[in-house]
Amino acid sequence: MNLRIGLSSFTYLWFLLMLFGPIGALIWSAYGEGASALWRELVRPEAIFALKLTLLITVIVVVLNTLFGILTALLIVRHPFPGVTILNTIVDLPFAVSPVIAGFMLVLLYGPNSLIGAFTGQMGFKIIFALPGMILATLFVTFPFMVRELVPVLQEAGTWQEQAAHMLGAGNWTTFWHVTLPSIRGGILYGIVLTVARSLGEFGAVLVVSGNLIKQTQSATLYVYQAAADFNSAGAYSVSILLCTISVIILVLMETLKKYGEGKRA
Amino acid sequence: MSIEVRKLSKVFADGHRAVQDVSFELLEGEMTAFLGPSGGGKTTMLRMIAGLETPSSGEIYLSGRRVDHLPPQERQIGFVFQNYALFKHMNVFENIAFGLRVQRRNSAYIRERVTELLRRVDLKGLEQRLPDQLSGGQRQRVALARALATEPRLLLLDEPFAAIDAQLRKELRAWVRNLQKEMGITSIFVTHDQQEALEIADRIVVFKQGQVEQLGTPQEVYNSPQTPFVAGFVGEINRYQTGVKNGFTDLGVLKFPIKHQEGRKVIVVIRPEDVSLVPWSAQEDIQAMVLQTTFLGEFFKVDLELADLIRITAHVPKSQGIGLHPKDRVALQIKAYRTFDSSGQLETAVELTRKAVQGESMFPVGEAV
Repeated sequence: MNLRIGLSSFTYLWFLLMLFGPIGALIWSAYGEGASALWRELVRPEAIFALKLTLLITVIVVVLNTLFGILTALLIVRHPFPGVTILNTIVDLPFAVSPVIAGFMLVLLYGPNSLIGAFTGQMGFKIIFALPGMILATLFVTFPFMVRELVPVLQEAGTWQEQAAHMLGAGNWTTFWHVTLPSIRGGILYGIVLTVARSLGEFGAVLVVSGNLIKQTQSATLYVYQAAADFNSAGAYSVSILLCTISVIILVLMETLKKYGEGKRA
Repeated sequence: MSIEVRKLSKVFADGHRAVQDVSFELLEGEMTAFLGPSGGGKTTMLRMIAGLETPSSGEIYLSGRRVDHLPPQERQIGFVFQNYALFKHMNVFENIAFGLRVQRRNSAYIRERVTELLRRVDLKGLEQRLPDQLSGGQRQRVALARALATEPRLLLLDEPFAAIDAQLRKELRAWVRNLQKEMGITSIFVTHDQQEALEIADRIVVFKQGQVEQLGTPQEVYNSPQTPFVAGFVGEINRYQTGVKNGFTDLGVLKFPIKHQEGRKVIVVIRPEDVSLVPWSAQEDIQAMVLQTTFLGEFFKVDLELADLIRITAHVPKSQGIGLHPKDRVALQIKAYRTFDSSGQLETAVELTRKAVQGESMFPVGEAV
C-alpha cells in the first residue's frame, strides 16, 4: 500500500516536472506580459507570415503523405515484391535519424552546390532555402506515420472483404473506394492527426533546409526560436501558446478517434 | 448453369500442387458437394471456378462459355466465404445491397429486393445492425443473402457451416438445401464433413491430394466406392491389405474368392454395417469373440477378434448390442464386401444374400467363452 502511494506520488511528481511544469511556466510567463501585448505580437506581420507558412506546409504535407502513405502501405501488405522487407525497414529510417541530420542530407542532395540544386537553380526554381525544401524536410520526418499506422490495419483487415466485393461484381476502383478505404478509415485519420502534429512542431530539419529567412522561409517554430533568441519574450510566448493550444486540440481529437476506432471494433 | 472443368491444374508459387489435372462436369440446377480432407484441393478448385485463383493450366466452362480468363467480377457467380467476409463498416442492408449498387439499380428496386431477401433469410428487422452485432448463424445468412442479391447463376459456398455449432448447423443445412431447391440455383459447396455431403448434395465430388477420386450421387459414392479411400472417407470401413492364395483372400477365416493372380496384393473393404452377428454355432464359418462394445446412440459399435488375431468392427442394432459383453462368443456373417487391387482399382464388389439377423433373445446376458 505504501509502495503504491509512493509510486503514484512519484509519477505525479514526474508529470509535474516534465509536462505540467513547462506548460505552466509558459502560461504564467505569458500572463505576466499581459493579453494585449500577446495579441499585438501575434498579429505582427512576421508572426502571421510564419503561422501561415506552417499551415501551408502542413496542408501540403498531409495531402502528399496521406496519398503516398496509403500507396506504400498497400504495396507492402497487398503486393509484396522482392525487397519489400528492406523497404519496410527503411520506412522507419526517419524515426532513427535526427531531423537536423535529415535536413543536412537534403541540403547535400538538393542544395545550390549539388547537381540537382544547380540544375533547378538554373531553371529559376530553388529547393533549399525555399518552400519546396521545407516541404521535403517535413515529408521526410512525417513519412513513417501514415505507413506505420496503415500496415497493421491492412494486415488485420485481410483481403476477404475485397474478394467478396469482386464476387459481387465490383471492379478494382469501386472495391478500393467502397471497401478498402472505409475499412482503413480509422487508421488514415489517426495517421493524419500524427502527421499534422509533427508538421506543426517540426524544427530541426526545417531549420537546416530553410535558412530561417524572416517573412520568406520562417515557419512558426522557427519564429519562436528566433523571438526567444532576440529576447522578444512576448513574441515567443504568443506563438508558442497558439501552437500549444493546437497541439492539445489535436491530442484530444486523437483520443476521441482512438475511442471511436475501438468502439467500432468492439 | 452447367459447369465443365477440363484438365485443370493449380501449382502455387511455393511449388505446392493443389489441384492436378482435374476434369468433371456438373449439371444445371444441382447441388454438388466437394468433399475431401483438408489439403485435398477442394477449396482451391472452388476458388478457381470463382476466379479468385488463376489456374496454372486447363479450362473452365460455365454454360458452355469459357470463363477461366475472366476476372471474378465478370463471372456472375455468388460466393459465400468461410468467414463470411461481410463488409464490417456497412450494416446488414448495405451489405446485401452492395452488388445491386454496383449494378446501379435504382433505389426503389434495391429496397424491394433487399427486403425480399431479408424475409427469405429470416432476418427482418436487423437491417440496421453492423456485422459485429450479429451471431454466427445470422452472419452466415447475411452472407448468403448478399451472394444471392444479384441473382447469380451459380452459387459457391466455401465450408459454409464450419464455423457454426452443431445444433444450428443441422438446421441451417436443411434450410440452405430448401432455399437452393426453391430457387433452383446451381450450387457447389465445399465440406470435409461426409454426413453433410450425403445429406444435402445431389452429387458428390470426392477430392484427394488434388485429384478427383470419385464423382457420383451420395448413394453411388456410399454404396459403390471406386477406391478404398472413398470407402473410408465416406462412411466407415474395415480395411485389410492381404495377398491371394489358392484363388481366395489370404485372411484366415475371411475367405473371399478372388479371380486375381496368385501372390498379388489386394485390399479388402467391409463396412461395419455389413457385418452381422449371429449366435455362436459350430456350423458357422466365421467365429469371433467380442472385445469391446461402444454405445453410439442409434447403434452399437462392436469390436471383435476372429481367428488368427484378425480384428473387425461391426455396427449392430441397439437391441442386439445391449446383450453383448467382452469375451462373448458369436458368429459373423459378411453381407457385402469389396476388393481393390494394390493401386486402388476396384476389383470385385459382392453383396451376399442376407440371412435374417435375429434379435436380442439370441444373446443371453453373460454368456462367456
